[in-house]
Amino acid sequence: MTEHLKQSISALLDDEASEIEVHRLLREFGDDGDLKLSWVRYQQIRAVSQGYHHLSETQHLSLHESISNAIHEEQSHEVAPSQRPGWQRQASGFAVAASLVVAVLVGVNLNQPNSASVPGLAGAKTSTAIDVQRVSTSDEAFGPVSDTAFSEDELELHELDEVKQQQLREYLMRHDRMSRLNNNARTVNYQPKSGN
Amino acid sequence: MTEESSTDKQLVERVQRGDKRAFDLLVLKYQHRIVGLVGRYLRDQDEVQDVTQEAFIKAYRALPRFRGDSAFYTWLYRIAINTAKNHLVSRSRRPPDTDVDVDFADGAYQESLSDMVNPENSLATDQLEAVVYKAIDDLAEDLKVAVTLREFEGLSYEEIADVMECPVGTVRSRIFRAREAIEKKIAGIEKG
Repeated sequence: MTEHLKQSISALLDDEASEIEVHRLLREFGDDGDLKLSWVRYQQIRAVSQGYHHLSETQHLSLHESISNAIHEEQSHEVAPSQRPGWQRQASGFAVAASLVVAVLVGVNLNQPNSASVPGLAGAKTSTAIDVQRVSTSDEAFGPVSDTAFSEDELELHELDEVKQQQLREYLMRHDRMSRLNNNARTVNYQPKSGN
Repeated sequence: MTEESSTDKQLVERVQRGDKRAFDLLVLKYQHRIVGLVGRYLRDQDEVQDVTQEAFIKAYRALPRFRGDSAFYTWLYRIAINTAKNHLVSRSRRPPDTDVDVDFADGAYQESLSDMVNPENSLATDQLEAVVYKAIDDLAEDLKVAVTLREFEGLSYEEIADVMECPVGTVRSRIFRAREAIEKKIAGIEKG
């Protein structure tokens, strides 16, 4: 168990953990008994501070295990991811990737006459227009997705400045993490405009 | 606690999408409070644990119907209170005459604790309290202030950063190091 993870649970206890930390904890928590023990002890510190201490550490761990076992015997609320319709799986990944597309386009200067290749992207001009499909999703956490179509004339890629490069790197890392967490997600499909 | 925590919202949404591990985190987050709350109604420790477990299972089953009209913890507290009262009724004991207000139940209630703990537990409770208070007292000043403002005053990281005139990241680190130091001191109690 890393100190970093423990610091994350300390922050989670205070509702100050970031979304990525929550993802990481959900991934690591079940397998790490020491992490759970630390959490229980942090809770005990709080319970003593706020005057509601009652059970011992062992009792709390035992209680949590009983509740956890009971819950895991219950039926899941949603169908398993593999049983979801294909468009739903794609929608989840698409919504994540849509944010990435937006981030890339933020770095695109559509009005500059001079063009240069974008780091990591081949060619100064794209010969393929991107047509992003609208996929309806009931997942409110990801927000609405808008239709966007770009013609060849509009798309002219330029080198990103340092700040935008850093933003893009952060988006890419975040997307990568979220994609790995959601095994059934696929990135958005880029469909060439007809005739290309 | 008067606002819906964004962490709770994230975790609830995950549970509603089928992630049971997210519910494990919610249980751990609120287990201590629910035990304390149920303990206001029941004296026997085994009963407290049974009813707490029942309350969480009920909450899990009802979660698909939870629409977020109230904060998750408020909703959970109501379930816990109803479960405890039903337990008392089923055992032909009278529940408390008045409903326990959620905000009131969240506060200190040491008088009820002393009613329900047996002598052995009372000793363990006293020992733990003594160790925790001593550990806090032994902390370096910056760690002591940060953890005191957080645990005793309930200030957010941002508020603490304002008080201590330091970045939020520093507050976060100080509170974590304070907890680590206290945790080391209490680690030996169970084994002792």
